[in-house]
Amino acid sequence: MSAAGRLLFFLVGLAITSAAVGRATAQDSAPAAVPAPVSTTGERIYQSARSKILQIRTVLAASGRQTTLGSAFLVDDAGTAITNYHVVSQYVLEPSLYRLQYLTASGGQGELRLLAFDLANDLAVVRVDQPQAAYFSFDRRKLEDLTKGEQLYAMGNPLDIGFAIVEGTYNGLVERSYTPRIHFSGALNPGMSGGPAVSAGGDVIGINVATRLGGQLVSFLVPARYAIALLDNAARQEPPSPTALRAEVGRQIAARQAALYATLAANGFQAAAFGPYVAPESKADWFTCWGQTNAEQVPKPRATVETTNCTSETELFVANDLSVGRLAIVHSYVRSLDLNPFQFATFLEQQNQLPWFTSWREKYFTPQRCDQDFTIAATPDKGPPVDAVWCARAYKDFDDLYDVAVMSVTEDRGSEALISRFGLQAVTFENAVALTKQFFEALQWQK
Amino acid sequence: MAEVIWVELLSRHGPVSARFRCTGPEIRIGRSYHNDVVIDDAAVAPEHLRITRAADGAIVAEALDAQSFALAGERRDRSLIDGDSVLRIGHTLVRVRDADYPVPAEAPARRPTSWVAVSALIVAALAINGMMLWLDETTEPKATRYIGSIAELAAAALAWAALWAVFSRIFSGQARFSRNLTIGVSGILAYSLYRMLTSGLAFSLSSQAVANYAFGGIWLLLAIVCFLHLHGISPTRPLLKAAILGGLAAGVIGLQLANAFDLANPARQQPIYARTLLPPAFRLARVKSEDGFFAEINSLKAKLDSDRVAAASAP
Repeated sequence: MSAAGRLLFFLVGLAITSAAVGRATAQDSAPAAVPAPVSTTGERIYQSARSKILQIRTVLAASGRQTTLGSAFLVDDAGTAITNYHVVSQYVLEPSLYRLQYLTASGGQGELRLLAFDLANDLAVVRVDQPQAAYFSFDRRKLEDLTKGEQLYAMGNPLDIGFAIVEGTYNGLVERSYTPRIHFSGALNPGMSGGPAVSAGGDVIGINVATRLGGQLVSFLVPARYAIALLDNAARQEPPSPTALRAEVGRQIAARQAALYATLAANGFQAAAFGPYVAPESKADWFTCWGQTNAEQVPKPRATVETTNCTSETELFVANDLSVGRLAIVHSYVRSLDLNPFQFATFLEQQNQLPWFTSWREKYFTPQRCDQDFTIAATPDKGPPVDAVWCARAYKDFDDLYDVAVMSVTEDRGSEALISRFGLQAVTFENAVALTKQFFEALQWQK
Repeated sequence: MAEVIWVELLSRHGPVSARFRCTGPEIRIGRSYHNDVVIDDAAVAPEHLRITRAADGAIVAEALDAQSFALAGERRDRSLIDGDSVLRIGHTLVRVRDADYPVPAEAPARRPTSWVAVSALIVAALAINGMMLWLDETTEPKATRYIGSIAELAAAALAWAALWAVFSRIFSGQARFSRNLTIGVSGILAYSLYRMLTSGLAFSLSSQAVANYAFGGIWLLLAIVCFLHLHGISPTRPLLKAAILGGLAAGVIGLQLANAFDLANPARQQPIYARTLLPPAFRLARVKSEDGFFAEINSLKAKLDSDRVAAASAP
């Protein structure tokens, strides 16, 4: 069903975790690993940056063995550095199991302290255990004052094979992304997460964050202004104690999701026609919709299914095994060609699956609870009666956040129907109910 | 002692395995061929037991030489016995009855199973299952699908009936295949109708309760079918059999319910809702108002929050 599967649009964070080590080694031994020629600007930038970039290691507190690798860069003489939240997420969620360490290009190493993190923008502020002489500065005036095609230089320690600099191109902000991201056409590799991407003048423009699997050199940077804001925040407040980190994660998810759902509501819905039915689709530009039909199937299907699958580019990394924040709206218009009403009902049964985001993991979620009813939208003469299923599960660790999956099957005629589904991740109960209301009221028919 | 005396050798479960008609003042029982009743049991002495009559006509059992016999669990070497006493010598059970032993009046003869009725049941079960297959047909109909399903169903019914016929042959001496087949096919027919009825009701009445708990009836139905089979093997103690089967069914239903309500059960991670759909004309339930629907949804919040609290306090 998923159109995403066809294009392999997968974002991957650029931290190396134990799961990725095998892949890293495989690439390591590939014979075609010829280094790209580095321009003289690159040479100059790397020379000046060499002592300002760090490798960040998350290690097991008990054995000291590394579990995640990423990069970071120094931003003041007190040893403050910026990295990605996803590089330190294991420590944030389980501070008693993990410790943070750093390694410099010259071989120095030591312990790291976490000062602040910004889940929504995938950033974290850490501090090394000794003062540093060299560090990057942000030129606040020049930030994002760039034109497409300008050269950028990303640094970090790719695949744990040594610090490196990668030349690439600035390509503006990513379209249809809820979270602002710079589109960087350059080869970011696992391990470079949290490293800086600087302009030819040496100013930090963004922070390496992700690359798209299945694409070529399509990589992403967090705009530097979010790092500046987080640094300002960190300077103003006490670093959170390890025991308060998880609650802070919950608070930040809730805040980010509240903003997301407010934006969704503010954008509103538009009506899309499906045969005799009218169903809502979000007007927000961070939804990507794909169409699909079964008409080409062999043998020829006895009922046609035309599906519109809209998913949002709003995923939020929380942990290696937990991403939240995706939304989906899926409508399938089903019409019988030569099935009798019983057979058509069975055909609908085969289609009436709830939207499915992630595997339903016990670690993070309570069991699902569902309500199923034969109901109708507020204006009976406008909307068809539907078989509605409304399922929700609560996040075990984060209060007042739920995943909600909803499905409705119209029941007004024996030979055609509209199956509408929508899924909301990490939503408050009130928002979920309000959106369900809005959704059902927009489900109408043209009799 | 001119009267006829019958010496019966019993199998361990009660039925008589051999019966000897004896006359004469004294009956000898043992392994050697001098005896009136010869027993092939290595644990029995060549001359083991002697049956005589006392002066008043009562039957007396007497162990020969240094032998003994067991009567009601007690070792004896001589005892008065009657037609209901069962003696054990070696591993063999022996009962002695004289010609006056009263037998009960004849039971009504079982009517032979009508093959017409069995055939009608089989045709009905196959027809219903064939119809359900046809109503569920969403691709090009293929004869192999119908023939295959019907063959599977027929094979299952035959295997089930054969299994019970074997039990019946072992425990009652008669296979009664046709009777067991009738019960099995009736069970399948009842199961098919029950499934149609419950899924239809769940849809018609828009009832989650019917959809979620219909499985209980299937276990009860299985218990009833097993009871009928057991009753056919031996009609004794119907209440005990019913109680045991009912208890087993209740136990399985209880276990399944406990699993369904167990929050730690990984299967609970899946959403539970009724998937069955029928043509809209079959929906008898009144359309629930929007307010009613949202009231139901809102009531889930308290449940989810208490699940969360329960999960937090779980080890």
